[in-house]
Amino acid sequence: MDYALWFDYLLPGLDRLNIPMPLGGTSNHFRTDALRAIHCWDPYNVTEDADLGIRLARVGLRVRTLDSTTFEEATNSLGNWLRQRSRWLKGYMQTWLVHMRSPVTLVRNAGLGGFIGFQLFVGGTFLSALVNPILWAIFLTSEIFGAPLAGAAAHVSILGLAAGNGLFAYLAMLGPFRRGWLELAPYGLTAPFYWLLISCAGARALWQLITRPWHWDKTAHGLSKVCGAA
Amino acid sequence: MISIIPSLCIFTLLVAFIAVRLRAAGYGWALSATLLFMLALQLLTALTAASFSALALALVMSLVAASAGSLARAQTARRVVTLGASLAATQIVSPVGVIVTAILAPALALLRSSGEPRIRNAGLLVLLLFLPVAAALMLAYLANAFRFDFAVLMNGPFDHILSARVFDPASPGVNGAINALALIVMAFPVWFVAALHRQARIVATVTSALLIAVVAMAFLQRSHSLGAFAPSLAGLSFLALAEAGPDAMLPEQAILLAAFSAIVSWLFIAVPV
Repeated sequence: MDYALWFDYLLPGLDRLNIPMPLGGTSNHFRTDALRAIHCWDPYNVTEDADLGIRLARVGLRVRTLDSTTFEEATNSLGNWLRQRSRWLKGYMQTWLVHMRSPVTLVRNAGLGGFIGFQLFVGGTFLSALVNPILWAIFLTSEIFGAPLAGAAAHVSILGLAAGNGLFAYLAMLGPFRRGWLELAPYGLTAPFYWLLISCAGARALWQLITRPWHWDKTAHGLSKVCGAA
Repeated sequence: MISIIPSLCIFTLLVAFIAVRLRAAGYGWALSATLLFMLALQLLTALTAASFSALALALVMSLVAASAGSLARAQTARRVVTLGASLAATQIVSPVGVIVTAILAPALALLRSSGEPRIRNAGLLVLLLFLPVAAALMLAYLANAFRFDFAVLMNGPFDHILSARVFDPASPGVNGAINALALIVMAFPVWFVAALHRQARIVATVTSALLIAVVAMAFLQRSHSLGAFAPSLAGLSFLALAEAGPDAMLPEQAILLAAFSAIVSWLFIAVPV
């Protein structure tokens, strides 16, 4: 569901809006002259493909999505999934830090729309993962022990929490729609729990960014019982 | 409290929406203008009720019917979102929205995916219900936390300008049943077109859901005057004509149907028995 939402809706959306695309997945095709012109990829970034998408946009090259599918194995154990996601989030943190060394240059290179898209899709991804448990903690503390938050702040927080989780659940449900996998839609309602796990991965990513920034947490493959295209 | 301008805006939006649908279906300028005149005449029945809510419900019900029709033709995520958002809007503009959604969402999920495995129907149903349920929860929260009531907010200066209300017996159930019977007759163009043309059947389904909701609301002691629903029937009738297209009948027949609907609406509402 995650992949379907990302590859079927969000990336084509970024493509249509001409917003720098954090590349990923198993099928990226490059023109080698373009790749050489930007001095290839950053070997220290653990999501070098995401970083590459932003760098291509910064030199004025356009990344497009192709209407084709490459199936890949989804992780099917919690430990494996946490390692994979924390590596991705750490890579997004690295990418954000690298490109935000000079925000003004980034705006000049990628344009204002590109800059905002970069903040939302790269910065927002790891920031929301890190902030999510803090918001839950504030909410639960005020409900159980009575209010660090009161009045308007409490209402805004509750509505924000409900709207954020609701929107993400709805997007998760819509994700598999294009492929006709409607039977998966109800599982989208579990999105708030998924987000708590993403937050665990985010915390792990932040810790690793500080302690082992270039460590590549490998994802074990070949574990899934389902092989081949659906 | 709603001022005059929002009511006029809703009125204009609804007429424009039906105009676009009629023109897109291939109706000529002259025929479209005649039909729109009849529509406007019928929409003015809103003046016998809380006019802004009646017009808003009419607009939203037309959007529900149009988006349900689109979804029935082809399932895309955008159409699911549009229908879900339209159903969510019904929760906001009228209490009948809850019942309309409770009837319509399962009906549409089953209609569209008949023969599909149940789990796929359940998937579509959950998708269709998500936004309306979220809207209903938000309204409940606002009502609980702030004593916020949309019904009060939507009162306006055009409300009950015409005070004619024929069917208003003491029993809400009887009132609802009589209202529903009158609305069934008012919606004659919908049934007629749906009987002849498959494309208009979704509009008939939406109309049926509205009628059931009217009766159910009456039994729940939330009776409304005919004028609250007649504009919705107007929107749905003209939408049915648009769905069927100009080739479905002679222009005179379309005009007759539209005129019948407008005249019968005013007769039921304004002429004493």
